[in-house]
Amino acid sequence: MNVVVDRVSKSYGRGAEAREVLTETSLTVRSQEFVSIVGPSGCGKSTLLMMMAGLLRPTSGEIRLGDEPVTGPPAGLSVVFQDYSRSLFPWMSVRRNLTTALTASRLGKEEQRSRVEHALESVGLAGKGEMYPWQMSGGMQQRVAIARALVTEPTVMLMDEPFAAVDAQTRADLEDLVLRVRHEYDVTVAFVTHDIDESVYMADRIVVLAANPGRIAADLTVDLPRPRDQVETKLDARFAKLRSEVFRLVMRPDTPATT
Amino acid sequence: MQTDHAAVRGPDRADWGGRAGPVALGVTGVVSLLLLWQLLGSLDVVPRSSLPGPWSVLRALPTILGDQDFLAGAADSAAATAITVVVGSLVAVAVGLVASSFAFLQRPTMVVVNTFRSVPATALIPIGVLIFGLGMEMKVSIALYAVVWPILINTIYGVATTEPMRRDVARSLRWGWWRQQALVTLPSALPSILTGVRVAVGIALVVVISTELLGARYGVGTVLVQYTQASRPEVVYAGVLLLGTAGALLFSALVRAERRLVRWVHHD
Amino acid sequence: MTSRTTSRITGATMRPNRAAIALRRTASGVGNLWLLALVLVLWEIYGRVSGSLFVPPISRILQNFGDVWLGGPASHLFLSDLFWSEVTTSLSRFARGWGLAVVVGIGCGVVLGRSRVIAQMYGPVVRFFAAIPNTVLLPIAVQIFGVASNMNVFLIFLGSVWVVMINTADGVAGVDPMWLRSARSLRVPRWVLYLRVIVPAAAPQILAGLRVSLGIGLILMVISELYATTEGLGFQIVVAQSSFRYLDMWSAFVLIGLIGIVLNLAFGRIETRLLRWQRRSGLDAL
Repeated sequence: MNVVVDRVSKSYGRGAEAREVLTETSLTVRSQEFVSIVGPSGCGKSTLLMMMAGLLRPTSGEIRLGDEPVTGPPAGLSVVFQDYSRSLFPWMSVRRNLTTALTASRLGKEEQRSRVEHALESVGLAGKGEMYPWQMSGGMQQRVAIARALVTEPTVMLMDEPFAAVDAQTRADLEDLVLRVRHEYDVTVAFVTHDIDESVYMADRIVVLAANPGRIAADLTVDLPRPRDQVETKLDARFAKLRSEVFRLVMRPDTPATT
Repeated sequence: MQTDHAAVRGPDRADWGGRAGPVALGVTGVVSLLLLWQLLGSLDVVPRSSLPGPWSVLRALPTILGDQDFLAGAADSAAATAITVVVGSLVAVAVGLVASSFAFLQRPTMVVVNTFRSVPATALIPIGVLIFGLGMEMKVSIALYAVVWPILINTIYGVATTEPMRRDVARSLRWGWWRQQALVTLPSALPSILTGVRVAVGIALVVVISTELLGARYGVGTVLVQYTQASRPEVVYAGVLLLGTAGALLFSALVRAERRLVRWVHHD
Repeated sequence: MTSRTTSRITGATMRPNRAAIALRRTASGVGNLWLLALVLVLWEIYGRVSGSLFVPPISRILQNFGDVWLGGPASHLFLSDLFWSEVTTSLSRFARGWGLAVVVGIGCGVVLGRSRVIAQMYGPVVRFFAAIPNTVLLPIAVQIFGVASNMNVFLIFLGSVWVVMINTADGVAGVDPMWLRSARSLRVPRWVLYLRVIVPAAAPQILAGLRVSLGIGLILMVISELYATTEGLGFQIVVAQSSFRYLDMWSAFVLIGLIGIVLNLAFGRIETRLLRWQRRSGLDAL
């Protein structure tokens, strides 16, 4: 299902104090696509994602999931938040965290059970359902958050800087995990990050935002072969070229392209 | 033994509704409750003799405010509360600082505190009456028993949560025990201690009035019991309203004083 | 916290020997009792040396305690008939009053914490009620209910409900918005949002309020029984006092104290269990 962002603006505050964080932004994430959204801090990339998730309302413009306008959190769409320690419910076991995500979908007990098992297995946490988030490392907790997003078998998954809080090795593992489950669950992904390497490595397409006010600066297609590999892909000349292009757009938006 | 530092928390530290919202809303709330009160009487849910209407209670306010006994009693209760809180704070903070300074004393002290503070202080009143009679001495000693534990717990808790770095600084400056307590430990523990003191004020009031209901010679409680026996419930309610108002004012003053005293906390 | 180890051979997660842990805990628990023991010994010495009629040595109090409150048959757990009748009377009053305060306090607290309008309407009134030193309501309670159990229950309820309500409202209003946002994005039904997200998230504060109210409830249970009743633990103290049986007075006091201690310990247990998920600092060492 396509996610369509149609001339969306967002400002905070009112009257003279109003601050526009995003202006007249349009973008379409096509079905099955993996789109990275990257940009300098203050470009409104998280705001954009939260509006796509139905958690914030645009000041003007419209967001559609398929043909339906998004007015609240839509069914078939999951979010993985940046801060796992604050988005998972620490008083619930891992299993309970996942079944809570299923309460809205009214499935039978047996179906719930098998979905939870499957989701845990997909993220490499089979048999860890009875643990509590506080007994787990940060990386494991973020895996739980991903499993909780997948357990509803969504068509679209939105990820808001999901790996900002984990160390480098864990991060690489989690990146590959997301690329794998994305195919397993046939899910469309919009992935916000401030890490330029990550944005290139993960995506089919990169949307670069500029700041003050937030707007789309570029929309680049990533023509790197799949499956991606942490070593091989990053050695590819096209990777380096894309990487420096995105870097220039994000860090030095005023200099003209050299190529 | 369990710790229950979290237990010692004042009744009014929330921010919800704390910032005065539209006055109209607050007034609506009060008025709706007054109407409910009136209704309870009118519909005879509660007999008039037990719950007089709001209007007659309001008319009884001058009676109680003009009653010399009530005013003297209020002064007596206030004095007992004040003495209790001051003495109790001094003792508890001193003991708390000493107990926290020696590792071998910390847990055993918590055991003692947790044991004695679980004993409801009011059960001591008859014994206190035997030992101290019906005067100020009795009120203060029983209230002291009730008040010391929460302040002590909060002192120990406050010291335990002192930023270790600050203590390292003190040690690297080769400060002695007294100076370290005065310049590092006590200021760090102050917010927690003040919360304990605020809780203590409430407890002291409750216990002091309890002693008065059970026979102490002077005090607010004593006077209200007399009015109850004289079948003047509206005067009793008027007294309760006054006490509630005084209590609310006292607590908000304490909160404000506390904020001033520990202004630095939020800039840490 | 995670006292689990993975067996290298079976790969199974197993807990270290529970009995060993329990034993170690008990040992360190006993090690911390010396100061309490010292206090009791000092009491004993004072009682003996002063020869005061009013402050008997603890050994004589305990002896009397055994005579009055213990000595029942095994089927009654060796507790006397008086114990069963008085303790159940007092505790059932406490349970009814406090239980009602917990239900009403949490219920109203959640509403106050969630609705800004209701908080602005009734917040000040709730604070006002909380500021009334609640024993002062005792004469009124007797007027309304007469000398009956409902009077004690009413007073316990009225005294403990405000702390619960204010702490709940405080906790609910302060729930981390990330959890709420996360719950919203999961499209959980309303009852799940309240029962499984908001209330558990506010649990640390709610439980803190409950603990304070537990102490207040006990204080009020005792004072209301001292003031006017015809049965219950407080009444036993009054009877002993009026017939100059000072040892009986003290042993009733000890019994009330023990009940308070047991209730507080039990509460602490439940609290720790419910709040296991909370990452806590080294304060647990205290």
